[in-house]
Amino acid sequence: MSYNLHIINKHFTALMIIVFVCAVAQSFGQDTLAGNYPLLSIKSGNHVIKSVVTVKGRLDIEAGAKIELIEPGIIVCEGAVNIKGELNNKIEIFGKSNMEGVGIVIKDLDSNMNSTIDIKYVTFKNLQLPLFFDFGWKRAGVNISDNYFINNIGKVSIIQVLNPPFNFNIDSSYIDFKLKNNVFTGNNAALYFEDLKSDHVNYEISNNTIVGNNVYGFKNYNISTNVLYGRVDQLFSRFNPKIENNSFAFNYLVDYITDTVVHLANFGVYGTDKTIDFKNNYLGSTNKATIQKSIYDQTLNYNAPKVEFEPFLSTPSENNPSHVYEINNLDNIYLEDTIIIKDPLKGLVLKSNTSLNFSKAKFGYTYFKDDSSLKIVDTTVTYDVQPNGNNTKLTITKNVNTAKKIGYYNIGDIIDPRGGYVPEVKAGYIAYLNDLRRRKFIAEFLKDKKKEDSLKTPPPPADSIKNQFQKIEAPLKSRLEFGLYSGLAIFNGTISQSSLISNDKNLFNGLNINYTIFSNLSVSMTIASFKLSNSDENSNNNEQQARGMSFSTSMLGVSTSINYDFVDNRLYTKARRIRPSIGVGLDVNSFSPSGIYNGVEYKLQPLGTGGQLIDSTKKAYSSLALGYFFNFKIKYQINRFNSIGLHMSIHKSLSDYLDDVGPDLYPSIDKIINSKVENKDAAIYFSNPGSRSVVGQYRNSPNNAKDGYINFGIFYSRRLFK
Amino acid sequence: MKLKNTILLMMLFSSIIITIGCSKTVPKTPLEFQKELLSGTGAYLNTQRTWQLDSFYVDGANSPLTTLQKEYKKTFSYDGMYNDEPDKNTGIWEISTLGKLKVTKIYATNVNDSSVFDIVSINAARLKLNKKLLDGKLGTYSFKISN
Repeated sequence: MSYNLHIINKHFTALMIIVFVCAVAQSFGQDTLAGNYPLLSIKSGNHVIKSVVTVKGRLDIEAGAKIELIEPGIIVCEGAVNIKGELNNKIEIFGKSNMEGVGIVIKDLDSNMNSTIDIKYVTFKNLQLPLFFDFGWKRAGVNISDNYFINNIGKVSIIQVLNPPFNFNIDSSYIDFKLKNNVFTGNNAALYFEDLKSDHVNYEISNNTIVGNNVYGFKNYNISTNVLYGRVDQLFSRFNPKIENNSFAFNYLVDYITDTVVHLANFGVYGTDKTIDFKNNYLGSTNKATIQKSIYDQTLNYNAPKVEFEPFLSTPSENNPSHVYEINNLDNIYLEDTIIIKDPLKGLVLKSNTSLNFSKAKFGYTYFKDDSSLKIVDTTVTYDVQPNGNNTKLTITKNVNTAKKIGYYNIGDIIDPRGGYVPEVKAGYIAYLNDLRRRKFIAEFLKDKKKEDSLKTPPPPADSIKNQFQKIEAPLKSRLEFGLYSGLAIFNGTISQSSLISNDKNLFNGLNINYTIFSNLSVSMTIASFKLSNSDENSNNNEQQARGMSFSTSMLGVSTSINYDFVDNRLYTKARRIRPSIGVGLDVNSFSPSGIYNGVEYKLQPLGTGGQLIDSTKKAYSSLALGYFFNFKIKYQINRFNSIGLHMSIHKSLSDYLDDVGPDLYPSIDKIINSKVENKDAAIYFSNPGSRSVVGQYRNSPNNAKDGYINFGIFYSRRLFK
Repeated sequence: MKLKNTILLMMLFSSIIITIGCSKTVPKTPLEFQKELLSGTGAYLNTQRTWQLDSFYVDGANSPLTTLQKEYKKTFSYDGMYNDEPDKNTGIWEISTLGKLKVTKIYATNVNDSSVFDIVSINAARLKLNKKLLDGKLGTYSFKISN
């Protein structure tokens, strides 16, 4: 409980800030882009793209721009592209969660032969296909450097480069295509180059950090299920691709169906050529056999070219974007990626290509709560950091008791020496995914079994009172439940308007006691205190505005109701935590409408504003009113004793005077003056605040509505006894 | 739904309820209220009030009204305009201090004639004004509402 309170305290301010920020963002609005542009320059700030934006000419995006792509948002570029952020002021192009936009498409031949594609210091995040060079595209050069491609959800490609046009073959010019110093991490797809060897595209893919990506496919490892793949043909192969100094680590093929890791998946190649150079890259290991497992080439398919990956780097280059490439335990023994972590580790040693800053790092440990369910526990690990050059020792200072269930460690928010993003580090994640799959399988099996069993059991007899309302064998006190209610009360009657939300809203508080009679039937009693008020000034009806009446009354009510509970009261299962109920009841309310005249509040009933006190045959209305109501509750059972929920009740009063305005004729001023009413000035005013000529009219015209009110809000209830 | 989220949601609801439920409306000041009694609130069909002369006293002694005087009416509009019948004077009115009614008649010759009345009493049906007459005596005008 105290932990929960701590969580609430911790996040409540943040939640309020988020609500406020959202409101501000909503009110200021964002720049929404759509349609065709001859040229487009996107300034620093927030922008939204929800449809196809086509740029016929040059596209410029300034540093600091944040562009949200919402499905089917896409930017199609037919000319030069200049997206250049700054080291400390990057450009962000990102997809909206659960409605991820596509990305940027480069297409067609630009009429300006010198136009280039320059993309630098940009973060592409949460997109379907961040960069797509469509078939038949052509520009003078491409330079994609120092960018981050993080957590892109599309399962087709992160970057897909198709070939320039066929008639381009007669042309001796070529495209210099540079992909350098980028980070690719947490993505679900590969980098695909249609022809890595080409007469017209000279590829240089160097110093990239390609770590922690999951390429989605099926169980069979093939060419396209690698994080980098393409074709290498003997024909039309003027330029050999330069693929050097890249760092590949923790890249896997993940099975679509089971969401489990199948295979290491670094590089795949096909085509008619015999070999391709893939030298001087770091390939996730120093063991040649392990490296070979992460490459799809002639070793697995005789028709494919052989990948010449030796010599390979034993550690990644320091010039690559910072990342962790190896995880060891405190004894400096290499932790296999398939390690099963059941007992918490004492710490980790992380090997990286540069020094790293762990000052803001979040070190988490997630493990299963029991043997077979899907329940997990997320914990934050406390740890000491001992940097030693490019090795960092993280010693866990406080271990949690996991009951020897499978879990994994996750370290995020690490920062590189320039303050940039460093890919997350995970240990034991493969085993965790395998166990998660096993548990999902068990859950599905149990669900199917339950369905099967329910088919076998004879159909229940037709509903009857006897079946619906079964006796409860429990002592009286354990059937009692006490509740605190709070919310808003809205008056709905003569002085109100048809649009409920436009009426005054006042605080409502109540105490409730509920007694369970049968399995699905309970009775309850509520004592409530609230205020009702409203004014004709709020009305959008001219006649009502002209009437000019207003009132305010404190209400004290006692209500009893009988409720039908949709969930059997005898059951407490976590599967049925949400418990709706409906009911009807009667209430008795004490009320006393008042109004303000010249700064002084007057009780209206003793003034006889409807002429009740000018005629000896009449008398003042009663300040006690009977009524009836209909209620609806939805309860969330926190545990066997405590629950919280939402409530709403619609009340109708049998008195027309909750607002002091009933079906009475407007009284004559002279008669009020001659009556025994004490505050005649106030009585005259409240009887006809608009001082209109209303001879023969009823005070409750024009709407002649019956008085009532609506209460709604939240409640907390608790059973006090077992 | 996790317990943490449920509780956060309930706390958010509570905050909204308290914010909405505890908002107060500011009552009108006596000055504003006096103006409204005199001239209406500005709401539909409540943009002006006409007061008909009912009786007139000089130094407390009743001065019977002639038939023509009994038809005398002053109309005050909520936007500050003034006119009277049957003289058909027009002008402006203002109450800048509680209980002091200043009426400025504007004649066709652009000559302004201001008079300040003391509001002895006003309610939704009756208006009583005092004014020093030219001979130094105190004139008390009593009006009744005539909408």
